[in-house]
Amino acid sequence: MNVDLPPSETGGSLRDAYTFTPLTVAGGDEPVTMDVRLQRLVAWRQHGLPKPPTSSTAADEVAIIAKVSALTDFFALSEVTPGVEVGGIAADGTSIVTARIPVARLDRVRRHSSVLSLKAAQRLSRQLDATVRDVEALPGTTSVGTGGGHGVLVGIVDLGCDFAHDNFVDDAGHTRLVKLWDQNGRGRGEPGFEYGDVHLPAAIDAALATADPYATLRYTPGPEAHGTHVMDIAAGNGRGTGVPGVAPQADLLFVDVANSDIPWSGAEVVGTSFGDSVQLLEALVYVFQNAGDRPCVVNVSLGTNGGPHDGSTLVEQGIDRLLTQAPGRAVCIAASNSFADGIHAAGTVPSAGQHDLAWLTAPGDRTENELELWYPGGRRLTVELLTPSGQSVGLLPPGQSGTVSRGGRVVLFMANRLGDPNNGDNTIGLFLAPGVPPGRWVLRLWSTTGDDVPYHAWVERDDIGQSTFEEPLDNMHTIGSVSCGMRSIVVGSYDAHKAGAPLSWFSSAGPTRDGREKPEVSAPGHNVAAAASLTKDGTTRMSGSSMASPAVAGCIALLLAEAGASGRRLGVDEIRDIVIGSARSDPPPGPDWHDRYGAGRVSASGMLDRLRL
Amino acid sequence: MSEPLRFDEVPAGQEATGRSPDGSGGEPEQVIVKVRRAGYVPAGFAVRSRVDELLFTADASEADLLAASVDPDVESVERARRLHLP
Repeated sequence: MNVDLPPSETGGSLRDAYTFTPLTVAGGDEPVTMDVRLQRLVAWRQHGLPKPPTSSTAADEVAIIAKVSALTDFFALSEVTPGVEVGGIAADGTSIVTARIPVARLDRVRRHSSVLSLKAAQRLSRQLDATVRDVEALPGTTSVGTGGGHGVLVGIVDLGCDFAHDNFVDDAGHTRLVKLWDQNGRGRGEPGFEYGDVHLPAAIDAALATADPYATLRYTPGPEAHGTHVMDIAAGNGRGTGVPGVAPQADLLFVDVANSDIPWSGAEVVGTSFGDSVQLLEALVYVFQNAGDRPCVVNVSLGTNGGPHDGSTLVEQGIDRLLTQAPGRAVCIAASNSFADGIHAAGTVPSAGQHDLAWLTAPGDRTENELELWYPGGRRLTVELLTPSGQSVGLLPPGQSGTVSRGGRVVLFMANRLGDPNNGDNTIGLFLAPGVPPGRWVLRLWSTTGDDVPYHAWVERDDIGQSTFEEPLDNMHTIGSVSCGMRSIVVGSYDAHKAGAPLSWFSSAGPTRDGREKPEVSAPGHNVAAAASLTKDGTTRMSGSSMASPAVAGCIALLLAEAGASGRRLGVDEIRDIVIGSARSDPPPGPDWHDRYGAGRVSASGMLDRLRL
Repeated sequence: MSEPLRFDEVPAGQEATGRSPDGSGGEPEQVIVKVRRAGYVPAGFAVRSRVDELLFTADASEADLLAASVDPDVESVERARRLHLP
């Protein structure tokens, strides 16, 4: 289409300055054909601009009005948070309904057979009490112990703590936080943890008494603070929102693994990581050290995709060691949200002949891409890397590494490393810097020992232009890379607002690479309304295994409090046995472990009954 | 990036590290360390915090990490891995 364009300010033609990039379905070539305003949201998201939350929608979620041919089928979709049906079923059998849908899943929902039309608005309301009720932790229920977690320390390792939200302040106006460690503060921490700022209760209370507590404390959680929401689920007291979390009388300790340098919007925020595994391990050491002899459960809603997925990383070993150092300790970790992301592949390289593993990097992706492949230590693979144009970058025999440099900068690195010291296995790692050609990269693999070689591979997380393996996808083994330890409790997500508690579409699957049953349990993580930072008493909705994990942490706080009241100190294996043994089925079907529900849906009431046996 | 991509030539005996040739990796790295002897700290490593006598976090230079890779008292060193919010 030719359009007469005015000259640009620099004198050239705007035609020269702007070129359309076709909007396609993520990971494919098909054009996006939905409502124009919805297309715009998709385009923004693909360029790193997530939709901010509103009073009625979570971050990166849109309210829609739809015309559907099968109301029940539409509302049953995991991606759909139902709103209202408008005007009943028409004579032609169709319904007009409202709902909310993640922007990332818009196209998928639009193509569902029940959807006749999808347009861009609406409100609904979900309360945290849906979580508390679903996990059977309502106070006053006979089978649930009294105390609300009193005497237990709940540690939260996350991003952004709104210490001024009323749900974290007691009736006397004092903070419930025993400490707030901001790892990225400019201070000197405290002995043994000599970086960041440690905010003590007296300083927090003094700040709360001022007109601007954030400026007074010199700590601001940010407008979409994930950690605030998570902490409220686990142990908010409901003083502001009217709805308490699972363990409202527990003490709180928050470690903020990333804060002021992280942009809150714009292209930079997507693809930014929050903290790292060293900070995570130090945070856990810090929390348990501060707990002393007090029972303590820590929630970790952080993770990533790469790694051996067998519990052998040093951070996982460190977590396991901390958990066995003393009784009364537990760590809950979110399972991750990578089930549908195409980030895992598995296969067998035959004893003779080659095997290709295709890796798709997104057009226009401006971030680095990373892949890890793991295979048994007793086998050997040679790997050749082929670019999207089919050109060979070279071969790497076992034990060798290779780089490709441009202008003094490494733009491609691959290693065929033998004998990882943590598990004895071998790994092939591939790193692509921004700017290398996007498209279909191929790792061509040969066995050099005359054996079949089974392997697993993972693509590292990338929130802008996530690279994937080629279809057909293998969505098993998608739990996070710090979620495979021997003694942590990993939590998957389901939707407690829908009949049948269906799995959340994103909730990652086990087992571990060495075949252990993780996640252990599941909990509500879908459209959970909990404390919103910088609102004093407001809520916001978020979805993710991040929301499910603190629900289990809160349940464990109730368990530890009840045990303590009867003079018992539970070891981590006892805690695990109780959590797993009391999990509810139907769903999942039957008594056997399920790769996404785990042993079943957590039950605080069931845990306390089991304790009392 | 129109030139064909080929692995760089690396001198014999040297392993490609993935670091840029201009040596821009001069800052100490944060790592997790597991040693074989209780209380042992590899040369040049600055302990940050301890899980126990065998496992700790530390800061170390690239040169110290290289030396630790052949230190018989060091079982494993793990570089910090970036994390995300699930």
